[in-house]
Amino acid sequence: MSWILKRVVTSVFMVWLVITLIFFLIRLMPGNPMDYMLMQLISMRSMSVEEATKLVQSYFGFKPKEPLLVQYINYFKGLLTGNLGQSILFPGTPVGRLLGQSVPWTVFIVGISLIISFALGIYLGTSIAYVRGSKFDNILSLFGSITNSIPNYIIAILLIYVLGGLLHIFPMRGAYGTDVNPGFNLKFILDVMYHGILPISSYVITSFGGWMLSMKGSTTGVLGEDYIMAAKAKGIPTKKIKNSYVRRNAILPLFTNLTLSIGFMLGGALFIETMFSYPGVGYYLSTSVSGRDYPLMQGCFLLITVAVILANLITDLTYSKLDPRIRVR
Amino acid sequence: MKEILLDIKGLTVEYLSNSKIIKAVDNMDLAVYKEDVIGIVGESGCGKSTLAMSILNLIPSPGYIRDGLIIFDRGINILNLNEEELNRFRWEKISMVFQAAQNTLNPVVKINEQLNDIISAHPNINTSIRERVIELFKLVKLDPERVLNVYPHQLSGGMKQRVAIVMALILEPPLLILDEPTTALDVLTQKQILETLKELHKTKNISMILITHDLSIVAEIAERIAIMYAGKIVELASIDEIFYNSKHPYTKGLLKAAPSIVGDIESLVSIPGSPPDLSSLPKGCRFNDRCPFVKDICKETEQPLLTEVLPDHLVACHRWREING
Amino acid sequence: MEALLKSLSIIYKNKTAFVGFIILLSFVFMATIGPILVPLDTSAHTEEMFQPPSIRHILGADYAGRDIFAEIIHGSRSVLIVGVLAALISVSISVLIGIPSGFMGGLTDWILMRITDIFLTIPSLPLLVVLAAFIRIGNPLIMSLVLSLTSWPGLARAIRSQTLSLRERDFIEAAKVSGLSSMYIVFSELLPNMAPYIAISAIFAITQAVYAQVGLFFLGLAPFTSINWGVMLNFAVSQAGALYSSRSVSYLLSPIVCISLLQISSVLFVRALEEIFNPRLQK
Repeated sequence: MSWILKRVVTSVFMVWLVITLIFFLIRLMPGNPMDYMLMQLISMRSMSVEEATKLVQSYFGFKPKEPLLVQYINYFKGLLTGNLGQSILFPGTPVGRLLGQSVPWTVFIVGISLIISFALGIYLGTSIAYVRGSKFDNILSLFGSITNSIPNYIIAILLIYVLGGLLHIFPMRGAYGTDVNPGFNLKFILDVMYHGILPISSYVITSFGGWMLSMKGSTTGVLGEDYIMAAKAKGIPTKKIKNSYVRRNAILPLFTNLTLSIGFMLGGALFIETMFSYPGVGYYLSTSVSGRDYPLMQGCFLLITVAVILANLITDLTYSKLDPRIRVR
Repeated sequence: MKEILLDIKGLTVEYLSNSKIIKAVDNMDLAVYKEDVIGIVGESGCGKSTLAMSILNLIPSPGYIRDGLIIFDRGINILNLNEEELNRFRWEKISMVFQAAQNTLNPVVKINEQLNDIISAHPNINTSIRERVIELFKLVKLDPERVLNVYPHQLSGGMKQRVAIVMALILEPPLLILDEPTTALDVLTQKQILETLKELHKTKNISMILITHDLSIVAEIAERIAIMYAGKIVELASIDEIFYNSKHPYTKGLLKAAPSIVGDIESLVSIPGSPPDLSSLPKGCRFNDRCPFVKDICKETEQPLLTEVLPDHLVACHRWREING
Repeated sequence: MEALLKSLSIIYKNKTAFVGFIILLSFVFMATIGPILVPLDTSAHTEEMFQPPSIRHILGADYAGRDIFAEIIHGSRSVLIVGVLAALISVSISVLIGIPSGFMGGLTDWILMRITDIFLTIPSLPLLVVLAAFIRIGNPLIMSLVLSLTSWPGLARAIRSQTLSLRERDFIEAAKVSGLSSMYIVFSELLPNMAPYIAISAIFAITQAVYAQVGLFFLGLAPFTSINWGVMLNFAVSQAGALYSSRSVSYLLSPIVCISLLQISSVLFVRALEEIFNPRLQK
């Protein structure tokens, strides 16, 4: 129990650390965007210092001329109330609202992709582990290695080009069509899924191979263990051995990969969502970087990082539930 | 005349390794009687564990049983059973306590669930399991409360070994194979386990095959001993005959190499050399490069067959007469 | 020299490793000698816009009439230099942090690992992109530095655990007992044993760096200084509208094929190397 507490505390600490780091990044990096904006407003729009300061403050969420510590506290206060500043590229829209709109889309795509590639990889990996050295194994392993090494945005390009631009089977951008009414109706849901197929495929094609090969290695290791042989000697049916004895043990090491994968996928959302103009957090992050929309950039980066920390925490906790040896600390 | 429970005839087991064929067990015959306790003794690599696994047809690839019959209770040829029959046969008629039992328990499943796995795999054994479990735990001196609802890593090595014994006996098989049951355990636990086994034999009349490299263990509980070397049995006799009237040079060597806790401290004599490479065995008797009594006949003539020296005392040596006067 | 020949023969025995190795070598050749052999004419020849592959333009011409084949050759240099440089810096930092951390343990380990953890938790790609917004990435060196900043933590952790497992081995114990200094042990006992692992990690680091930099260029998040495959992709999609029409197929596919081949061959080569160095993985 105390171990869980430790992990949660560590995660909260990390979140705080990241918030602080981002704050100082914005303030102290060369080419400070706030001072830059301040200068711009004063020189190019002939604003007075107070007016410019007020404007910058509303964009970034704090008064730029106050001592750093006070700014920091105000920033934190703003965060806790959900005020992350105003977007520059989308004037009049608070960053918080944009993020709130975009998070479900990212979670949708990344979540489903993760589940599919994990499940597919586990299933295939287990299967080929039992026929190690066969043609099926060799071909599939090679295929998995190859697809796993191609960058996911390249697969996205190819999918868009062939299945979208050339063959017009799938839509090439957006989360849903312009002719559909958002809401909990069947037409909308189907359209969303239709638009989600290509982005999800980009992820799944490039990541199932990794899971498959990991599972293959892990399963092969477990199959050589003494307790599997002992289980056979006890007359336990093969099906039961495959499930309770082999798979349950083989899947455990893969959980450490899960944390890495989630981080990677959330980061990779940057590329994929931008490619598909899919309105998730990654899309807004890259748009804000291109357009120098610092408040939005700050918010997106913060969100993604917090998401990764959270995902890691959940994965660690799940892992500890599955592997009884971990709980003894 | 005792009844034969397990009859091994002409068993040959080979492994394929780096394109070489290793003969782990070579044309072996062995009979185990009802209520017998037979010890199989030999150095590492002599094939005794392979022998144990072949009995349950458990040889993993790249090994395979090349030849032979293993007849149980004069009716069933174990090697001919199909998968379904084999699953029922295993553990019900013959069970096994493996070497390093700590590794034979599924690390992520609780002990009682693992016991349940065994029980549900053999639905036709319908005698009262619960009482038997309690009884067996008492026999091995384990507290069921402490042991049943935990995971393997929460038990000590000795406890895991004893759990393995309980698991092996839960279906009350007539034959129990124990492969190095006390290795990797401290001396006190060893003694406890041996006591348990002796008790077991007395109360349940189970036949046992006890595989070990340690002569002192077989001395405690075996009635007969088979000495194995390089995949073959070189001497087979009752325990007294082995200890006081051994005929084979290898057996003599083993006895001399074991320190005795009573009497004078004689110098230990180890057998020079090391076991042969099973993929390229020497011509003639396999022991010829380490035998202190070796003569030409040992190097040229075919391997010696087991010949009866006395009733129930067999030796495989060309020169046993000359050596033993 | 002998060790080199021996390694080459081992590689030859493994088909996938060999193929990967040859392809990698071809790319190295392409990046080093290529630009000297094949000149790049950067001026626009609008009359040759989007020409399909022909004798004059082996891979066709891009939206400004420039030869795609030459662009690919010249583009490889930038990709590989940044990739290798970033990997080198990354591996160096990881080794400098991972080995002392694993070997010395205690407070040093704790501090170094906490620092590593912080960097590890922050997702590298978003960090990369945000840094790209603030730092003017003008030349390959800066690009490599920024890339390595986001990739060293994972490597450092891996090297630390390797060090930890090797530290307990007998030959290290023996060296310690004989009174050899720690520095000496690290350099002449630990490092040689970890060399294969470090080499494999280095190649993985190259693939990571290539993934990141091509992505950055492709999305236009890093400024273009010279032609490179990511830039070509960017132009193909944005300028040439390659996704919507088939007239610039070659312009789109050429960099895609090269990038993919580079990554695939690296990974195949590394997987085969892993098999070679870890016999337990062999069939």
